[in-house]
Amino acid sequence: MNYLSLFLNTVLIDNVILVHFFGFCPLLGVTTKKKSAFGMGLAVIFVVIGSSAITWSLYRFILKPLKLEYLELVTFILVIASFVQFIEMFLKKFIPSLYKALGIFLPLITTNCAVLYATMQNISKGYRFTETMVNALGISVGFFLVVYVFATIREKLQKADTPRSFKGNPIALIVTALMALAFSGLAGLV
Amino acid sequence: MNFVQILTALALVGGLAVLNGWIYVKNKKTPLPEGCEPFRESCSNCPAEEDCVLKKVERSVKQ
Repeated sequence: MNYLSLFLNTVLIDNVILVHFFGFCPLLGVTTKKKSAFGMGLAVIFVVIGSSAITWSLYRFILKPLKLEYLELVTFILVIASFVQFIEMFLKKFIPSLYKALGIFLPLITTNCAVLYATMQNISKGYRFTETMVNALGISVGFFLVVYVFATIREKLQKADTPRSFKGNPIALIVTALMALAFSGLAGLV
Repeated sequence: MNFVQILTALALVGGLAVLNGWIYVKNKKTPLPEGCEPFRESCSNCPAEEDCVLKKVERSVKQ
């Protein structure tokens, strides 16, 4: 498996937000400012990679040997929620500066379905551990890219002369659709 | 599916749920860093300050 092509595929072509429509809530909710989007993107990268490692190991060493594959969804949700809580606690105690930068976003990530999508895709595609890590990195970087670019556009839109009925979420959804169209043009690149 | 498998499944899910609850309680008890008050109550030095202030402004304009 070519790791670079896997990475580029998950970032650009098979993008988690624009192709699979996961993580729409943070896309609309946390992209009014570039700073918020940047923080959210970084936090998602960290959580997706960490939870992908843990859930892959859980599936490989516990669920599969005990023939409990059907528990994948429930156990992964619990693991992701616990991991996010643990990270928040760890940052509060040991790295307060990082907590101040990412603090508000961590509880939001628990309900971000892009994280669960990443962990479950690793299993459904039968990836090895290294492929899982590359896939997780690609998904989270793709999320970060879209969220940040979308935030820069939205900041400009706030100053633009948008018709009253389109202000806020309507124009945001139109922009999302246009971005999805733009990204679909990258199909066949890898 | 046999009885042992069902028990194992319940133990695994129960164990993870207990772990989640325990970490949640520990997290709630962990004090916030200095200069970082709860986001909902006030807009302090935390990173969400701008969004918090923006939302307060939006709310006051609507009223």
